[in-house]
Amino acid sequence: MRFFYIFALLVFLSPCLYSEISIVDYNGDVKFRKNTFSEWESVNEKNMVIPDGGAVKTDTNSKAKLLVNKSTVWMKENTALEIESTSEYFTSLGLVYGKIKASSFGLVKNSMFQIRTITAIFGIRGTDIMIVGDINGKVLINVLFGEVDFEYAIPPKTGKRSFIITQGMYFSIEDLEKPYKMGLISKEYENEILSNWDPFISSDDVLKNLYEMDNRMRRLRSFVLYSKALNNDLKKFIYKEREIDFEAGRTLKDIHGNTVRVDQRLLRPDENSLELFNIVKRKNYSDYSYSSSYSSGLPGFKYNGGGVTNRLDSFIITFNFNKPLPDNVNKWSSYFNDDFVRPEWVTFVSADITSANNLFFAAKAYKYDEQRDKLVNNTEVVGVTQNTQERDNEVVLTGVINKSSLSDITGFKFIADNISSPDGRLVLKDLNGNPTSSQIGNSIWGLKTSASSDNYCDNRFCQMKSDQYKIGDNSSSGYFWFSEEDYLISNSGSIRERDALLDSNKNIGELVKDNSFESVIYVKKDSGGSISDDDYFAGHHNIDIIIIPDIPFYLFDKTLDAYNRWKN
Amino acid sequence: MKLFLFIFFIFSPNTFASLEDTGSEMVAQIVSDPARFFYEIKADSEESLPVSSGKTYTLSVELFPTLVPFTYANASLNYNIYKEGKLSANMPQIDLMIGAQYMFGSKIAVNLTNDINDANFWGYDAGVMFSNSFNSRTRTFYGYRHSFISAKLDLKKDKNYELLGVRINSFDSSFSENSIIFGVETLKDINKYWAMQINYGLSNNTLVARLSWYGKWFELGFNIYPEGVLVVHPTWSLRLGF
Repeated sequence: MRFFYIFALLVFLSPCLYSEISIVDYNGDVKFRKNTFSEWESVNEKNMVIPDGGAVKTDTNSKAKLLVNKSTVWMKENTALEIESTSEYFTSLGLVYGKIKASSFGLVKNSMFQIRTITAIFGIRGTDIMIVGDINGKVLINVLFGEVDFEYAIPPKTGKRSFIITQGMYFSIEDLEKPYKMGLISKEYENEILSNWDPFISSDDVLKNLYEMDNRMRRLRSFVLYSKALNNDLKKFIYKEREIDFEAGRTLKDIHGNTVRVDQRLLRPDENSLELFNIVKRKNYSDYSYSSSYSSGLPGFKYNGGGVTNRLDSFIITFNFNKPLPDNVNKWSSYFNDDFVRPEWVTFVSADITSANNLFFAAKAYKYDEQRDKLVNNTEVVGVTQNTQERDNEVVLTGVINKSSLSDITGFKFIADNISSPDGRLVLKDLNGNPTSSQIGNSIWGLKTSASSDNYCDNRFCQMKSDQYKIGDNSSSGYFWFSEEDYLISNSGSIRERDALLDSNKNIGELVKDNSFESVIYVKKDSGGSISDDDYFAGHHNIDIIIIPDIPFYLFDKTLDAYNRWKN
Repeated sequence: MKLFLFIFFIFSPNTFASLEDTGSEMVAQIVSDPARFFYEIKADSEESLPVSSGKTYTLSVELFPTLVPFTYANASLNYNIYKEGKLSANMPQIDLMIGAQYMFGSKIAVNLTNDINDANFWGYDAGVMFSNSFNSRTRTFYGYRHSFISAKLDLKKDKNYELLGVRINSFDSSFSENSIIFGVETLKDINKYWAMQINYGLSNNTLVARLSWYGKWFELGFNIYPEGVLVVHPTWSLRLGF
């Protein structure tokens, strides 16, 4: 009974194991035979099944297409193929002579699809291959896709008996006595395999696959080009990352609630100079007074300007050194650590640049004093000898100039017009450092007197500071008051509280990004030794600058050692 | 004369100053995010090429810079679970990738010096890779990989450590990344391939461009990390297919 069940099971499963090869299409004179002993007969209908042990051959100008399981074999003219086995797990075909293309896929696990020639056995595990063989043992296989297990039918005396031929390779045996050849598949053979081998294909459709392949190659080339472009972009990105050390920007609210865009650039006007340029843009600059909610709670200074549109202010710091600066920012650290490097002069210029022809500026300048070995701000900066204690007081430059004259101030090209009896006017200096007759707009300089007032906020980072300046060093020229409101603000425009800032757990980098410094500068008239509410320059009311610390912090980090050295 | 100028350049004080500056800049970057730096070194050893045609798996060991000089013992295995076109002509090759790295030098350093309490650097990666043939010699590949690295350095608390002027602190951090991979592989000759690929990290926006040439035994290449401490990493690895 047990044998009956086994027999029944085998009968039941036998259709699953069995498969057959059939001629699904043909063209011209194609013949077949059912077994080795039978006669060749002409194929006269499609889908003819060829049993195991049979054979198919094509004559001149004839083709055939055979199907076994999910694999297809195409036969070119003058080709003979023996059908050895066509089971589900083992399909074996023998190429006697001629040229075939095989495309096999859908092989179940542990199954084998092989094509034998007189000299070799090719186990096909890929999709598209072409084999050319003859009855003398010559064989050529081109593997377009997939891979082929190669095994010699007659083992060679030396060398490996079997190996794998991978896709993109050809393998040939020209002479049984000589070693095989292997190399990259040629374009000619690749095109031949890719072309359509179907028997009844029109000449246009023969190359259809090639066109598709060309399209795919074009897409691939596009990808490679894209990748190369991306690599180039990456390189630019790298350099951009380097350049971004020199530029920064931020949009925030100022102390008066105006939306402000601050852009910061680090420039090099010449090889010895470094210029930090802040430009502060406000679409709308609203009127304010100290009764507003944005007041610091202190008396402050009267603003006479009213609301302004498209307000532009700038703050420019220029350093000039005695040696050329390195091009590469990474070398700055060693440059500034050089004992022989020192600044020649420094200018801090704030300006309302809304009107190009009427720039209102206020500036401080420092000059290197060799005897003191430090930067000083006294009458020497305007070329007036510091021969009294009073002349060692701070000097401020201010005035109304046109746009082109701004670089004369930032570039330290100014000097007092009369050095021996200075009346406060500023003129351009010549190459020898002597005054010329070219006055720099309506600009003056002032020497600080002892009259001043400072008001600090209790627990907030703000101060109101005002100092009286004598115009020139001549009492008859009069006085002005240089006043500043200084705030440390958040990006939302609120004044930072000391305790909250100091107690925060933020690192220095986060603090730099979250805070800005705002300074509102006024130049006021003197009224009997006290500050007046009237502006010294009529129509020029204030300079309202915001400095983001991004680049200064970076520079400070880079030049910390040198800063300490100069400071000491 | 050229040799003289070259030697002069190499030994000129400015060159040393420049190298020192660049070095201190790099050290500062490493100290600010140590795990990321060590991730980049580890990432060099991650195998990100498909198993070659005719092979079932690929075993690779990065010799430079991962093993030497960074003392990362490393190995990556790509195992092919499906050959392209086996069941369906349009179905791509599928490979599984796994890799592991361990910096044995860190333990040696702990034993050799009294300045380090503990040091431990290790990582792993796993992923899947798909590849399609464009033509007989060219394959495109794409895949996904998850990488993880743990970086721990515990220095003695009572000392200040500096490298090129940058203070070195203890750290205990990790870095994980989920990357997508796109690339092209071209067969240039028997067992000789050329490949270029782009790996993009979804978690940390890391970007790596890789160029590699490989044969039967070794793989040479350049890994480009645009935002890395070392932008270009020349690589050399042992890569065996079975």
